[in-house]
Amino acid sequence: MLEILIFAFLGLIILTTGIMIIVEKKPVYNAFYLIIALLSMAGIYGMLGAPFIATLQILVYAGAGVVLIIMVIMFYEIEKNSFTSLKKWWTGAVLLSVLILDFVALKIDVGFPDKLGQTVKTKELSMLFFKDFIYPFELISILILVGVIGIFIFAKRGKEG
Amino acid sequence: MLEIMISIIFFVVIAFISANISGVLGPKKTTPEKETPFECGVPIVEKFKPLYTPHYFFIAILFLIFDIEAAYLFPWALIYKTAKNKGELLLILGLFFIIIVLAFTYVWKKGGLEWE
Repeated sequence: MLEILIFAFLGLIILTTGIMIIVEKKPVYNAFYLIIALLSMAGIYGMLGAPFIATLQILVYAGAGVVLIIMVIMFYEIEKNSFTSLKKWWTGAVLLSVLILDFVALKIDVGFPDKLGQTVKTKELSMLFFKDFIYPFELISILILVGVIGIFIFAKRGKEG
Repeated sequence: MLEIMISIIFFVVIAFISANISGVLGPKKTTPEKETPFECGVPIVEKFKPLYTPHYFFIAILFLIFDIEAAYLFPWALIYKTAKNKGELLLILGLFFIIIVLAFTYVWKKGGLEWE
């Protein structure tokens, strides 16, 4: 019963914030609602028994991805000379409560529905990473190397040109 | 579960105190003159506009990349404690890190982290 309740609540949050991302006019608030939607999705991943995916969702998407979006908004708002900030007490409260909900969802863990496929535990995933797919794993670092150097060259070219 | 909850509450209280303590304890005597940005004694010509260089964005993208790299530490840390071949695991991750540090050193040596 509790898992259905939490699933419904998370789904409701995702739907509401998804609509608010489109409806809201202030760009900073759009980014804020995006964070809430991504965090609630992490909660659903946690309930499905995929804590690693949930962590990635929080760390990479809600963390680093939205940082980039906020960076772009910052430049854009300077152009327009209009600053909107998130200095409202309820923004922090909403973020915190969604994060706590995520922890609860991680603890509930109903698991992936059997009819749809197999569940892969995080430990099995790491075994795959470090036993069967060592070379692809090392290739990721080369991909990151190429990415860093590429960004650097593009940034430098933008400065000169 | 309970430890996590307690630590969350603990950190929130600490963050709240440290964010507000200077406003509570500090002296507050403001005049309209004090609130204006400094303009060498002359009246303000235009509205205050903070400057951000695109260099911030470069640093943000670098952060994104190192964030993704840090995410690969989680599956490694999960099996390291119980693994029998610890040396091999260390070697795999060491190589991974060396290649990334190589990219970082390249950017560093080329002056990508300099603030002009």
